[in-house]
Amino acid sequence: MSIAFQEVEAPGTQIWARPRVRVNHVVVTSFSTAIMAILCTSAAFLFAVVPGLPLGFCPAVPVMVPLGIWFGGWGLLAAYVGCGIGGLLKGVPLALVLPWVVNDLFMAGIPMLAFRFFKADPMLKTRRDQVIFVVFGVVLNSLVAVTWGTVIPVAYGFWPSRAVPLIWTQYMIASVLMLAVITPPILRQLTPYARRTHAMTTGIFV
Amino acid sequence: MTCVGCSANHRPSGAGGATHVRSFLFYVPVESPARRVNPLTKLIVVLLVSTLAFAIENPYVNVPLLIVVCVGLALMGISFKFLKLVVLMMSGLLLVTTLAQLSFSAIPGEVRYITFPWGTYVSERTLPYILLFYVRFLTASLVNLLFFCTTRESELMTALRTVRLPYIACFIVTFALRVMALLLDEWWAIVEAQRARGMDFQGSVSDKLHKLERLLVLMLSSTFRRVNMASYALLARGLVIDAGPRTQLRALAWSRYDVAVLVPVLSLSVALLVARYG
Repeated sequence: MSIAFQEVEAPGTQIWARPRVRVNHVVVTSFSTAIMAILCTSAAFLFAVVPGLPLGFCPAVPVMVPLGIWFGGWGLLAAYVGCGIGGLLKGVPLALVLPWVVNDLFMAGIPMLAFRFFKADPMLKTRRDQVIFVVFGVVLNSLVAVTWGTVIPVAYGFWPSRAVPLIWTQYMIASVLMLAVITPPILRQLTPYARRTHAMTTGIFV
Repeated sequence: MTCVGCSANHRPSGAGGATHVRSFLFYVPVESPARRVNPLTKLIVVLLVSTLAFAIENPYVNVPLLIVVCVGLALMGISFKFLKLVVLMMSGLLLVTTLAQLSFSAIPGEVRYITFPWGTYVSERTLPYILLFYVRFLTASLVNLLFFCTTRESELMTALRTVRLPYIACFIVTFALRVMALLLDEWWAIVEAQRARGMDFQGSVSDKLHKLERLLVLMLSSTFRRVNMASYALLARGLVIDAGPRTQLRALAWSRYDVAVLVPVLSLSVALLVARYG
């Protein structure tokens, strides 16, 4: 006769255990990925500068920054995969999409790290939070992401290197405008909703 | 079922649509040869052909490659009427590219038709260069289309699992593709509701940005409400994040169709790349 001993955890172990990845993180990432893909494709037509052509403002840009701030690495994953799927659906070749959408990692990743490092409030309540947002979530991330996003297509022959300054300027203005006008209201209004998903992270993945 | 690409119903009428099956983008004929090819094979072909199209800049390679891809699309039973949607999607990038190439390129030629004050010019070789770029771009894009038109989400999951991607990463991608149709319907419902309340999408840049903000807030808040419901549903069905290695319902099977597709594409790619860089 054998006796099976069941290992019993000490009381309180569950309460003080380190936070773990939950199903909510995975679901929120999937839904965010789908939103990013939709915003990169169908939604781009609504706000076209040239009627009928998806040129001008990409509605995914002001959404990926809050996603990174709220959901950390999951938000970055959603930005990368979502924009990748959106790009593929728009007809951009796979060989170009993979390196090109790295700019979305910079766009969402820089404010994500800054908000965690400086412990800023996502609802931008104080002047300090707002300054951190403007420096890292509007200017610095746009500088890096726009530079990457403009230079990579040159390597693939999309546009000549002499066109980079003009395209960079247009891209930068659009990016800064959208992040400065659209992202703060999204952060203020939707941070409580994001909290209710139980998927907000204080670190990178938990 | 609404098509993800254009929010329209593409299910063929007549015979109850039984002759077609749904892929990620459209409906494809049941007897399409693409349905017999392994999704991993298709993924490798997409990666190889799109790399070839951009790595090699030679009309004697690029034009035949485009013809082969078009023939492939026709053989797979994909209707060319769907191509107009893809061309519309690509038009933005192609327009920017054309304008940039015309205004900022300096391709040496015997005749200079236009010389710009900033030192660039349009020569007799500029237009052929742009046309060749279109050919390369179309080749790579149509291969993408071939993949999306003939593959289902569950098949993509199997393919990604086969290349040893973590289960959660595969799950996120396939679940996102599955909920895209749902969220796309919701996006257009929000847009139509706002239109019914008098919102138009015209006006100054500032107006457009504020209207976009309103739509995005509505979209995100409704999505976050769905997240909890979906999480409970997945938990109730027993989804565990760190459950260790998993078995698969559908095993990836290799057939002679895969060999017939993979061997010529692989050998052609290697030969062309060696000829180009060797």
